[in-house]
Amino acid sequence: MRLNFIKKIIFAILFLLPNIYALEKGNVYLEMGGGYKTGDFGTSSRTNLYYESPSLGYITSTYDVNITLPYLSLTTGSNNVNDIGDTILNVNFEVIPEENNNFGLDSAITLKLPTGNENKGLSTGNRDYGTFISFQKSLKEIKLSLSTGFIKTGDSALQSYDDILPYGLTLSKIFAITNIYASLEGRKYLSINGSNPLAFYMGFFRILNKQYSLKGNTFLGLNKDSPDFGIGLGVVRWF
Amino acid sequence: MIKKNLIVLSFIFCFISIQTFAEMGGGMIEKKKNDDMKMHKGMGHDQSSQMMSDKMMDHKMMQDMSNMMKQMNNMMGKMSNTMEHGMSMDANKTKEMADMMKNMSGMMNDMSEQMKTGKMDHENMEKMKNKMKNMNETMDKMMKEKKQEQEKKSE
Repeated sequence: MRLNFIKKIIFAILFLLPNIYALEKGNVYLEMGGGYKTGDFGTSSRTNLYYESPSLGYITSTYDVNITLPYLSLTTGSNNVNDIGDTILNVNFEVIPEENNNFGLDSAITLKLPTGNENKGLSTGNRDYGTFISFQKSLKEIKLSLSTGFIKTGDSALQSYDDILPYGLTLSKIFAITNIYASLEGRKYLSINGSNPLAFYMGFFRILNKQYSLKGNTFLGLNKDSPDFGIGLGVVRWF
Repeated sequence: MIKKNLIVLSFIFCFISIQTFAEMGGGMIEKKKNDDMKMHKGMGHDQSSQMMSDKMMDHKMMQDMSNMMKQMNNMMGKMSNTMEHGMSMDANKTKEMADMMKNMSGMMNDMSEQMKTGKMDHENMEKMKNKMKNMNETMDKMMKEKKQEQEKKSE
């Protein structure tokens, strides 16, 4: 039954939407990104994470389908593990275009496949399902985005996990060919004692030329549930 | 288009919801949560959920850039196609076509200059998008007229 379920979800994500908009041409892109995070998550031991997160995607004016397979290097105290992480399959699609309307509405569905090793602490050992929605409104030169969603986490044989309610508020502005943004992002883990990581992000997205873009971000954790600090950088190649 | 998107959105949410409940055997309420344990304290877990929610943030900027590139390529392709097929044009159409090409060339130059000097802003990008849209419509209209002419001749 589980296998059938995975097949159906993968079918929905990878084939349903692209087929509906099959006539629309888009661009293939490859993103090579990576970064560093550090934090203690409210425990006595500090954890450092170096990650690489290559993504392959196809984007049109109405939808974006992509897959990300990260490689993680996780260090807690003297323990270090290096291995692939969980695979993320994602479809974003535009529900209401901002053009010709006063606001825009996007939605996304995301599937996390447990390709990471649970015993090494790189995965929950089961798949997660996420649905997201994002509201955008241009206020003169500044764009405001509000987003939220729901992540249904799968439990493993060893442990049960809380479902997650992610939320965020982003302000962005284009300077020349660079988009600068600042955001407040949080995730509420849905249980009585569930943690609630909250962080302040700043980042940019810069068009280098017709084929390459550069993106980067840095964040500061605002509570003990969040990593303390992190930085990420990526290059996008357009085909 | 919006209606179509809303239907697709509703379908997907229903699909996911039904499948999720089926998968859980309706046991969401019964699922035991271990309250003593602080969940998701591992950086690996945090990274996965972070990546899932981050995907939405990047999407819009990527889409803007992709749209611009696509519109330009389409327009150039249509112009090239029109020329290759030797569309017969009267003086008015020839002038219209020449103006469009001049406009297109001007826009490319503008973009190039703006990129160099760092003056390109969201408003400019929107203007260019609208210009390209108008040009696209004109081009479609010309192609349609040509097709109708050919159909009349064949009759």
